Amino acid sequence: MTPLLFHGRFQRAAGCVAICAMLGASIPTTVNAQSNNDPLQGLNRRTHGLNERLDRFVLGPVARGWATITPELLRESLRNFDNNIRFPIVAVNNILQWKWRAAGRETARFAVNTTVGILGLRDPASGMGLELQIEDMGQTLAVWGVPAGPYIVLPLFGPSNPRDAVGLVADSFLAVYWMYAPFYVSLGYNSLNVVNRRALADRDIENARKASLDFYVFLRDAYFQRRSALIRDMADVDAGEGVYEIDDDLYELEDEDEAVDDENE
Amino acid sequence: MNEPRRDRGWRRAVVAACLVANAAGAVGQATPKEVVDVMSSRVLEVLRDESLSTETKRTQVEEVIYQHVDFETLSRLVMGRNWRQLSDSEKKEFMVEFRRHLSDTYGENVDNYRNEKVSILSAREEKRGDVTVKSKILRGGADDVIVNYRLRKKTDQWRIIDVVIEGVSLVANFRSQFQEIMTNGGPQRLLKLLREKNVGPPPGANPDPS
Repeated sequence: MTPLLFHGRFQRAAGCVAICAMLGASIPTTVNAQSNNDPLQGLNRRTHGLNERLDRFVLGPVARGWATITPELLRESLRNFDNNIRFPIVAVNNILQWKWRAAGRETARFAVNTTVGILGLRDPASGMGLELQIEDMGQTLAVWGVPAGPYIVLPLFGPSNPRDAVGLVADSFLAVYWMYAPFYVSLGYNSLNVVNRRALADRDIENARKASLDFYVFLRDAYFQRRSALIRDMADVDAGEGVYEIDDDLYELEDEDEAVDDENE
Repeated sequence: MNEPRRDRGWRRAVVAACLVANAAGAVGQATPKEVVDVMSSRVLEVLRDESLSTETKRTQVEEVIYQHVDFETLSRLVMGRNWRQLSDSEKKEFMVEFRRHLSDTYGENVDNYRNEKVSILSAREEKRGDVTVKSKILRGGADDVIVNYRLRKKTDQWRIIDVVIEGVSLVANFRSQFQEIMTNGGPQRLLKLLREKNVGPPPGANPDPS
């Protein structure tokens, strides 16, 4: 997906990323702990509106068309294949975060799925306890202590922040296959992959639109929470820290409320 | 004389045994893990039942969920700091409309059941005595979804106060949305948006894609 950034009309997106990254560098760290760190909201909402229109009138219909002409097995296989070829990104970022065991697991997973799983089209490794890992340079930078910077909505790419946008560009260098593929092959494959993943997520996206009163804020908050959970690795959430810091804030507020109620009584 | 007395004694023993069993039942309330387990299996049972119509499925799932979710606490947490800005009647209306919004949006999916299974993984105690129960919706390999439930004990019963799907808390997410709406239009605007979502937009209104 990422090499798109370097082709023709996507250069503007890359330029935007670079500018936002510079902005991000000047934002103090304390602000980054908030999910509503959104000083560029005016611009972001406009970009979000553009992305929504693109999704409604182009990507969504194309994805549903793709879903009607292909069996689900094929869509899942393509998704598995794409997860599998992300192996260098996941493995290298695990190492950069000093998670050697996770890197080893990812290597075993790649070996199993590429062979037994027929070039990664199937995912037998998940059944062996070698489950899919989501690792990228955005998370690595976070682990290294780089602040996220303000929320930005990228054209076509959607919710992001300067740290993740820089990570996206860095990760694209790890997608080594495309160095050997001609331009039209990588563009074709990546476009198909975007359509395919959109098709697989169709119901979730429609549900989210229906379930939210302000879809822009829904996405912003969901992105923030999801990225925070991934940075801490979902497993670490088990240890009792992480996502629930947000909740602690809520419970403090409730305590205040109760105190106020008691005073009133 | 002897016969009836012995008879009475036997009856008393039965009554006493029942009372003890009852008391033990009241003390041994369902643990948070059991609550989530019972709720998920009951919901799955309804979803699997092909003899039920969509409407019946919806009402039955709703009943199960209402039984185990503490909507009052959930509403307060979702509103956070803004809860105090609502009048008593606004609070009541908010709770009714918000609950309806949740049931509507999630109820629409009762027909999308595709043989998913639920496995309850672990329970962990949180600050303030809450408990998080971790579960996984099994859809086969890469599609599994991690769902954590947060429960709080109120009047001797554990009930759900938040659902965290793949690291995204429903309470925190709605709180961000409502915060933004409250800042820009106060409680009236929030209630108006909720009402409109629940009954659909007024005729002739332009759906705004942004």
